[in-house]
Amino acid sequence: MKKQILIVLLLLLSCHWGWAQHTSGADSVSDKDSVIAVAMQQMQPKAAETYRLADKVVWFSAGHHHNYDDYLSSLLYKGDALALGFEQSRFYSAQYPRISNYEGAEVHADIDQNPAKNATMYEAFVRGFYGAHYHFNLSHGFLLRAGAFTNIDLGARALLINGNNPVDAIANSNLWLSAILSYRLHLGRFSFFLRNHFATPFVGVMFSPKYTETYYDMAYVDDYDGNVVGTWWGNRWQWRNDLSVDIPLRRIANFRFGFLAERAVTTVNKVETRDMHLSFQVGIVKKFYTFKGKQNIPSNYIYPTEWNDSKH
Amino acid sequence: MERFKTLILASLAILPVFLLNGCDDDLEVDNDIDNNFEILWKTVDERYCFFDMKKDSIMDWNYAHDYYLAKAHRCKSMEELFYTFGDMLNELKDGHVNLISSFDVSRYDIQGSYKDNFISNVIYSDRYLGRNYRKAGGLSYKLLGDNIGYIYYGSFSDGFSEDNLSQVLSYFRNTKGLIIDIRGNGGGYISYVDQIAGRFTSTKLLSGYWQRKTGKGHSALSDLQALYLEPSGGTKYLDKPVAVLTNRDVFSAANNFAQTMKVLPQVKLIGDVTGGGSGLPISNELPCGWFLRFSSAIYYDAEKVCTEWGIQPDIQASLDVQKAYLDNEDSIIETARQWIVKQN
Repeated sequence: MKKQILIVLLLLLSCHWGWAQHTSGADSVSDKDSVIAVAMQQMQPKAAETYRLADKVVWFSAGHHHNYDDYLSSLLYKGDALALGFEQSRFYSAQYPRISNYEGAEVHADIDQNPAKNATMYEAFVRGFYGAHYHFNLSHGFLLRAGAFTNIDLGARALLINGNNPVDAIANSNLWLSAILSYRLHLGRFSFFLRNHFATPFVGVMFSPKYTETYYDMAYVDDYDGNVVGTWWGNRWQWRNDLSVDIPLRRIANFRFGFLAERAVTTVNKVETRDMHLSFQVGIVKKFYTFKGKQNIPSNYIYPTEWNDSKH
Repeated sequence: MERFKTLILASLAILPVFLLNGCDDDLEVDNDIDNNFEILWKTVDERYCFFDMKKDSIMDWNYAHDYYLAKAHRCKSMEELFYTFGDMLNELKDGHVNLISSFDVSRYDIQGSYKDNFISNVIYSDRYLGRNYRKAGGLSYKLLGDNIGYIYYGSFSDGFSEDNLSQVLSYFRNTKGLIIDIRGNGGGYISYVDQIAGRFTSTKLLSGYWQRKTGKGHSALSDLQALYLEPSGGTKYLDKPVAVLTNRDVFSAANNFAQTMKVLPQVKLIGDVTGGGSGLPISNELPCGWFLRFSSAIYYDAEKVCTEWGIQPDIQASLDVQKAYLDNEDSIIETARQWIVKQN
């Protein structure tokens, strides 16, 4: 935990120093911005054209995991978390220049042990999500994207040492509120992109066995009424925070280094679950331009995650 | 001022890290006698399903708490603690309640003073299965001399396929009747129960009821839910007498099988009262690494009678030990053969 806090503090200090650099060297930056602004004006799409700009990220994360599911055990399991993810953001169209979509998929695999280290709980799930963000310009060069997305998680937790209750299914779909705060940091000739993405679901549905109910009961006794339950902040408190910095590499791609934290606590059907992921993230960010009309695109065209109204 | 604003905005980014710090501390428990005892006692207190039903025949659970906690504090080793915990669980008088460690499994003696009524060597003698018996999955079978089929199924943990069942019943299609011997069968997968029993009916039948724990209170139980036996696909064995042989070791899924077969008109239970075990067990664990198993759902027969304490046979029969050892004769099988012959 100390290492994690230290890294975050270093990122904060970098951000703070970068802001000082940005304000003291305002003239030179505005020169660069004016070039971009001209390019943007030249690139205003014609009515018949549609354009789609996308930045795509593929990332891998590894870290620490807490797993508590009192359907399976009364004890907190701790272990390792691995995940692989893909996400993409792009503007919908020229008619809605402030709205970009947000979509992606993730695969998570976690292995945890009980306090006595003689039992292992496995967790694996896939997540797909789709949503949209509206772009706001904040002061001091910050960009805020605020919106919502929906997810589907499918997977299972397994504690195979258990007899009739060895598995608890993970199946839920939620509507999330989402906010991404980002900032372009200039350090000398280098440019870094700092980003913090916070999201929390506020309403959804999830699958949960009932108190002491076994899957035999559901499968053979047909006792499955009430296994799909509506959720909200009161019975499903979940949030996710992804703090990252994109570092450029020879104009080919940006490397993303991040710290991903996700917490989910559910109390449904008198079954409590707690899940916590703390992971370090490494990824590759790639810009993609998909134009209809075969237009030539200037190399300094701004891509969606860095779109800034003040530069128009 | 601008720097201050920037700092505030950036600080939001690390807020989650501090929110997560120590968030599961309430779940961290020390591995000491008190914590292990309390988790064990509380888990059973909140989730065990038979407290109400057994309240007149078992120790009051609150009294058990004080009595056994005091005993636990006097334990000088983990082994001693294990057996103290085991003794407390045995107060529930339930064969489905176990404490499992790397060195032993605590268990309630369901056999008690009942006779074994089963000698394995006898059924594998030439008089019955012999050495050349057939085996389909977990089912051992042979055609007896008087044209009666004999199947021995020793554990519901031993699997079989639908094809296995069809082959066995096809083999016995021209017999006068069938003996299904489940003596010594301590249970296993309950899904096999309907798989076998469904071969002996052509109509859907009420086979029993089921009730589940719904909350922490001892009386928090769901309404009774009816269970039905559906006819299975594949080869059937209908309209001929079927004897199911039982003894006190017939427990859990095997007890459920006896209960289910009993609703079929052509079936008689022959032998001794079964061992019961009509609870469906689930698992949990203790901080010291011991695992716990206990009943959380109750099965009842078609008359809404709980079979936790066993099922009485339709025809009581005991094993004549002298004949068994001297002549390899199993008097319970012989009783079943006589009953089948009488039905023809």
